[in-house]
Amino acid sequence: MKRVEIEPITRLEGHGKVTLFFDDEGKVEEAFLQVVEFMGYEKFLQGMPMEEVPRSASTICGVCRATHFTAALKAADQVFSAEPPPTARKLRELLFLAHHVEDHAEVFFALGMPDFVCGPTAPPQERNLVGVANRLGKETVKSVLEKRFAAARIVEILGGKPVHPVAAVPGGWAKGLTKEELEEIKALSAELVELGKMAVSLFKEVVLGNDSYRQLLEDDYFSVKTNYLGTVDEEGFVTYYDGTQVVISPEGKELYRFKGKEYLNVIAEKTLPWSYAKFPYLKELGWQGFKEGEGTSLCSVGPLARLNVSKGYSTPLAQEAYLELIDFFGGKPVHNVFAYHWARAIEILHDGEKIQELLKDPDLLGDDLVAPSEGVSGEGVGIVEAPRGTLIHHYKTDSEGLVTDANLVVPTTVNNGAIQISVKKAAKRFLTLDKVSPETLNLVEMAHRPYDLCLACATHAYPGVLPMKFEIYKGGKKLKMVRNY
Amino acid sequence: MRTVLVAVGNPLFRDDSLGWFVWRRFKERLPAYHFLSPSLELLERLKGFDRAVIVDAVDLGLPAGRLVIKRLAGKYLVRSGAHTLSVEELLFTGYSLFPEEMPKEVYLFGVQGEDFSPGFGLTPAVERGLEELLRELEELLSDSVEPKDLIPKEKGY
Repeated sequence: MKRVEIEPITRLEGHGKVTLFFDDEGKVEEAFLQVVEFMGYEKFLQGMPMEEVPRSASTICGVCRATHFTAALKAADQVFSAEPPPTARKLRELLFLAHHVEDHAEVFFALGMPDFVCGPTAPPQERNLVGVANRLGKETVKSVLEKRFAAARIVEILGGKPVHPVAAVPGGWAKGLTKEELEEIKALSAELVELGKMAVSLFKEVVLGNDSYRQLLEDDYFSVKTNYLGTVDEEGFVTYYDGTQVVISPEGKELYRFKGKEYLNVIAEKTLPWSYAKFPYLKELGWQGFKEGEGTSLCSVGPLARLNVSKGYSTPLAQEAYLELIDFFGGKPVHNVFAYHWARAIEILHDGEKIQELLKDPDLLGDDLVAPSEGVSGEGVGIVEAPRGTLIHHYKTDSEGLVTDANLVVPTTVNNGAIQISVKKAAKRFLTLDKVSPETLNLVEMAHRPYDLCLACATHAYPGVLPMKFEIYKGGKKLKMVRNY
Repeated sequence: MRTVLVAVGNPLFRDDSLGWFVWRRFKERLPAYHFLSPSLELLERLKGFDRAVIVDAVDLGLPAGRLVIKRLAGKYLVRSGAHTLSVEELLFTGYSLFPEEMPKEVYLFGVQGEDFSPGFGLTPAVERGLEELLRELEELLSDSVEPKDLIPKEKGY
């Protein structure tokens, strides 16, 4: 058996490694995406005052700066028994929506679309934003960057500091909104709606308008049939900041609904010796390995999962785009991994529209920003829909509010099982040992990129020992393998 | 000369917090932004300035605490590929799309780190490197001295 590694995998946050095993006939036998980065936040946060956790947790990842921050903040509300007043809650939701736009826009335009605009087998040095500009025009890409920055500016205004927000207070929000700031955000929000329209149009023109790409959308090799997990509001529409978590089967049947700590009844986590990232699965069904289809216990999260578990989006333009997607695939659930890109584009549009809707709420200018604590409860679970999918922060504290236990279930780990299947199927579809090249290997990478992996987020576990493996070859033959697990 | 400071690093990971310490030192004196990791936002933050100084801990296999200063030239930046959106790729993108709005000068100020594990504060060697970095940065900001290229050529950075 021969082995080929793609390391580092390109255009995702953090570090990983894809390992491919070929049989004697040169065909792909196995393929794995391994997480080789290690961070250790679940251990690191222990002993920390809970009120400090949101800002510290935000440093888990520079890209997902507002997601861990928001999930930890919601958990802190519960630890200190302090329900945020409406103004604070709406300011948080507004910031979270803006963060979704900046994150989705970066992933869609800079990391996902170059594969399609420049071509899956274009040289890596041309398959980037500059390559996109060379094909679509510099002004288009400049406009994307400027519109995306409108979202970053909204995060700055609401969060109290450029780049990384600092306004977290258990039971509230430290920074109120002035009339001038509200007017500025209103002007910026129009840019976000336009950005969403650009994203949806680009996907339709570049991907749906190209016969070979359309075939990829219908290709079973890029279909990964798992359960789906996402969050919906009271009417069943996609929501991010707060709601009810819903799980559906690969056939679309609703399996579970849960909130808060009830996640422990639904989700369990498997650790495997070759990856720092855990593998969450549906507890009741038990760990069944990387199996897809009927009876699988693997779950997928993210834009496509949200779309699959919900009845769509509560805003008009996004809902229209959602119906178009469903019509293209002939119903739900949609399993094609490239539909993640499409759903992501639709969510940018939704987020811009939703921000505009929220900006009409007079509560935003209120000055009741923080609710008093009614005592330390000792436990809190914050669940949000991060851009990459459902994110769970669960903390236990002592009576002083010092963290004694932390459990983080992050989207990249929830998707971990589905990603393994996706990578293996793509490798089997496109690779043989005599066809291994940077261009063909990118076709394998395209199978994990829609999941928007964030390995920095996925490696917060602290197992106590670094699993390391060393293989020693001489003259093409393996002489020795040493490992510490 | 209008200068913007971009500091990169995680304040909770020992020597990786170098950039954060520099950001705290200068944030009241000039436009300064702290990033845990770079994103497209970096480009918009650089627009309109004459000079950008990027500060980050580095890991080039040099002795711990060794100061590294590099003036990043346009020719150098073209080397960028399709990897994660690194500072290098972001700058390449900016100079390709809107060169007239990008700073004419971009400097990287780095210090070789020793310990990037979770924890607060710099190791003693990097602490000393930080002091040297601050002196050099003050000189650059006074526009009196052009910093020397201190990167060993054999590293090919």
